[in-house]
Amino acid sequence: MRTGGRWLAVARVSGRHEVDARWWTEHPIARTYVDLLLEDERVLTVFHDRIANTWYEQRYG
Amino acid sequence: MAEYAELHCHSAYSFREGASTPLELVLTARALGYRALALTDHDGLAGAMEFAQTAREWELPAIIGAELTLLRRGARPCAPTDAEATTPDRCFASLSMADRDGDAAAICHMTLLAETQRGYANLSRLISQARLASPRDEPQLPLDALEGHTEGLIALSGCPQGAVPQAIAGHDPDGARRAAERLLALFGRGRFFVELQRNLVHGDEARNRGLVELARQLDLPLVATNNVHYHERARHRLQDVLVAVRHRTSLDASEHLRRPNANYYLKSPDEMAALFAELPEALANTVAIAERCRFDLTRDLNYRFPDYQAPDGTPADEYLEQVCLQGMRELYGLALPPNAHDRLQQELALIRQAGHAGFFLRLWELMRYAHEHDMPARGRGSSVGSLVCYLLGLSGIDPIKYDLFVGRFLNEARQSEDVPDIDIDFARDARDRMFQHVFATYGTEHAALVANVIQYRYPQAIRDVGKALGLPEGDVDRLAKRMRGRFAGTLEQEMRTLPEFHGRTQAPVWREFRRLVEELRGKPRHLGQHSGGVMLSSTPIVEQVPVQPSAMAGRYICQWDKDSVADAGIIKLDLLGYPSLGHLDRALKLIEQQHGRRIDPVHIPLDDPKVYEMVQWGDILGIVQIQSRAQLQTIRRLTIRSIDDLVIQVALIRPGPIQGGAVNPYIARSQGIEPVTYDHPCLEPVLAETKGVIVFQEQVLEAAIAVAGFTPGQAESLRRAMSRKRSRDEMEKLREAFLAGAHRHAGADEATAQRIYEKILAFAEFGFPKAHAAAMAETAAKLAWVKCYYKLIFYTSWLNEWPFGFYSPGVIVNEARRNGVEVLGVDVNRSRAECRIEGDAVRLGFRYVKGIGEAWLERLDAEAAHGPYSSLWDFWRRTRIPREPIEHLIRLGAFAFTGLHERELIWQLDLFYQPLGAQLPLALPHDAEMVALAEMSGGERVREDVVLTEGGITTRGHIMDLVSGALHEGVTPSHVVEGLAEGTKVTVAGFVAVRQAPGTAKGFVFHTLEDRFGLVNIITNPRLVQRYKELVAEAGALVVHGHIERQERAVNVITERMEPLRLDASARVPAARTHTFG
Repeated sequence: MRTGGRWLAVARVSGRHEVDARWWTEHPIARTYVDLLLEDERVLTVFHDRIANTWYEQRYG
Repeated sequence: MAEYAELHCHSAYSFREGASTPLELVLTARALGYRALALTDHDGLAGAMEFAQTAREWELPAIIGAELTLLRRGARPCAPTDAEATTPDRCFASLSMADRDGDAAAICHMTLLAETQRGYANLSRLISQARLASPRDEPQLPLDALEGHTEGLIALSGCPQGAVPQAIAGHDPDGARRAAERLLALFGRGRFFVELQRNLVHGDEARNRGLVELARQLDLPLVATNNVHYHERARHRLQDVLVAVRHRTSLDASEHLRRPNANYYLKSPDEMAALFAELPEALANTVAIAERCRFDLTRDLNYRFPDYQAPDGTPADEYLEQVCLQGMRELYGLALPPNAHDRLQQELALIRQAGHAGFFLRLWELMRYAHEHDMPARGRGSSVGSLVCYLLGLSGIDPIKYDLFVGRFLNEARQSEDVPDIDIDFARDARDRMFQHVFATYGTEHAALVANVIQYRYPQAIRDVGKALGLPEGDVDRLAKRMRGRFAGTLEQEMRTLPEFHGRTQAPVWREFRRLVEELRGKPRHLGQHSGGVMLSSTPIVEQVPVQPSAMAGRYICQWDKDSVADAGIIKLDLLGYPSLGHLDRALKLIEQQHGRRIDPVHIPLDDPKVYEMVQWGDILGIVQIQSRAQLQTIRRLTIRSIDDLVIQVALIRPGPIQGGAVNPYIARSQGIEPVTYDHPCLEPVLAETKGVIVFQEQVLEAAIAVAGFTPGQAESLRRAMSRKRSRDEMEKLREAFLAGAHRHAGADEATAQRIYEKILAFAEFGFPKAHAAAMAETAAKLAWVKCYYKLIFYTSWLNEWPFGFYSPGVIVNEARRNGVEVLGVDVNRSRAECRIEGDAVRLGFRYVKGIGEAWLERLDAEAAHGPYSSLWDFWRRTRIPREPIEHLIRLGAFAFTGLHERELIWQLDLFYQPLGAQLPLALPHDAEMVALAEMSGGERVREDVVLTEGGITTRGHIMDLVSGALHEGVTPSHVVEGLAEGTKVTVAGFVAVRQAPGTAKGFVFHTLEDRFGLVNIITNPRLVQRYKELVAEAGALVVHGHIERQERAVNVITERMEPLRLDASARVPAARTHTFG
């Protein structure tokens, strides 16, 4: 994963969940979230926007 | 491929929760290669039989289970309350559902599966217990109630709402352990599994880790499930909508209540194996459990009909014969038909063979009670064809006299496959008393009402989906109303015709709306009550099927509809309300009261030429079964001279003969216009009575026997297949057998055999058995006799028995007048709650005054015994009924005796009226305070009559007075229309008495317009129905321009154009004055 301007290896996938919501609106949400444990022991959450078929990093706070 | 059985699955019978039908689930599970599928609807088994039958049909092993809502130990159950804004949340979210006492974790879920027959009985009993002790739609069972009822059940720890998973998610490992140990103690080792679900929801992983750890600690087996709520992923949208609907909110406002994603579908075994790759035993255990659950609901139900203990220990078979022979002596005396004994022995042999003697004797006992307690009743349906039923007093119709076929009711195939249906009609009040008697005799442990599954229709589906999507209420309401009747096209068509949807119909949200509405339509919404079905069992009913409270105190309703009850082989009695029996009974009592002549309905002559002359003339309003527009049309073209003619007439105008193309050939052949022919010579003995066409249901059986060489049992299977919702495949299998049989047995070529089979199919179930038609025709003939000889009594009793039938009271009263019977308005000193005979007239009863409820009717009758009222004040002082009904009575002229007119009386009422509970004012001389007020005009009084009486009765004028301004010399009155020639151009005008759009009419709509002189029939073709849709569907009064269509004495006006008939200023007609039906 490239995060904070550097590449880090993914140690393991520590979680996965999906969200399908707001399908009745003009901005439907269909995402697959993946929690990644990185080599520096940080957990990074990314998600796949299944409508746009694009990956994003989930930022909290 | 991995092996998997889904053990946690909800169907649409988890009402407003599950989004797929049992069939959709079974077909998908089968396609995915499941080893088995369990149905685990919430707190119910309403869909269990349908599921089990469907699964059997598709050769998928089925497991019956349920997801129970439990109250943990110490938590108090909710007291039953009215339905509340929110119901218990299920499976996901709504952890805040909580109990009302603040114990957030009081409610928990658990998945139970029936391993054995005992397990199924326990499950059914537990659900019943929860349903009976909880608020409606909020079943909850105290956890401790499981004690002693876990034998034969396999328990899974449940969804995230389970007691164990909740504790783990709440970081309470000790609580989780305690909960697991408690369940282990209840169910025993090997019958309690820790359930893991991985629906890709945030939190699944942590919860499952905790569950696995706990299972290892306690040495408990694991099992994987997917908490299925729909058969395919795409259906998650409907499931979201249903959750919002159940919580009476919108999708926007229900995020915390809905499932977060679309992963609750039937996943392939490989997908499940991938999800639980690190726990293969969890997947293997699904198959192991499925192999253990051998209970088959289609086969293993422990049902027994209550047996009959005959006096002195006489065997039931022998006693039944004794009772029948006694009945034979009483009913036939010396005039015993020659074949009666043989026929009786033949029927008794079939009953003996099937072991149903006790059943017949039980019914005999019930009907004896009915006869001894003056309850008007008689049989209906195919049982009327049975001599045994006649001799036991179950039918009241002599099958030998009418040459009725018994094979539809009793035959060798039915003995092993199912039990005979016995349907009995009762007068309305008598039916209520009979229900009380049945429940008093059998108790709720052994008797239950049969359910009716209420399915989503367009209007409700539109309202529910519209609300969930947050669509404008006004738009949704208009659309729902638009889709209410048979006049509607498709949802999209209707949207296009409404101006407010212009340019919006293809907007994404409205497209989604339409798709969801179509998906929802036809899905079960809730359980209602069957119109008259009651099941009886010698084994406790709660162990056959769960029961829940019914609307009637002291009676329970089972969770199965009539199809499921029949599939279970459970005997169902249909105790139906038939108001015409009440009409006849009231009339006979009035004849005795007025003329001192006691008439036994059995002895009313059925061969009186004067009666048939009246019927033939078309004076048939109020005569059950023959009073419709369509009946009148055929009666006028046929010759009705006997009860046998009437039996055919009753059966002819039914969807079966209409769709089977029998009506016009029958009429033409009766008139000698076309020769009587048969599709095959072997049909002649079967169809000679009905001139070569199929009119009666028995003829379907007899035709199958004659043409294809079917046994009576095979023929009955064909009839049953036609009557079932789930039988298309069976019908096709039977087609093959029919074609082969026709070739072999009758030498019929394929084209002929196909033609006959198609006619049988078109007839389907929608025709009467001759036995049923005979029962109906007898009642019709008896009512016709009353109408012929006692018109005044006929109308009085009709008005007192109403509501029923085709016509509103306003139309009935006008018809009475045309027949020379005057109907007088309400008068507080002369009227009673019901209509009464006053000299040569009918005095209208208070029951027809809007706003006077049942309690006030009783009060008025009681007070009438104390003598006449001397004034308005005296009336108010003595009755203390509320102001609104008093004002209605004034405006209807009920105080005319005072010499004051309506406005003066209302002025006076204002001077002294005080609501109930206020101090009574002194009786002051109100006359001194009067002011000069203008009296109402005749037209105003008619307006008041129409608006303030039930069904728009006018006694102080005619309803046509309201449209006098709109009529002109170009409008032809109805009695003149009768005499016009074919093709004559005509304009007619009147109030819509009946509006009918039958499914068999291919889009044609029929109106019956009423004017001052009578009724006139209007036929509007589908093109004009679309052009004048609003008028056709809603107008209370119409002007129709068209031309005459005449077939002998049957006359119709064929619409060319129409317009509303304008009412005079401020007049309005309540919609209830028109009877609209499909």
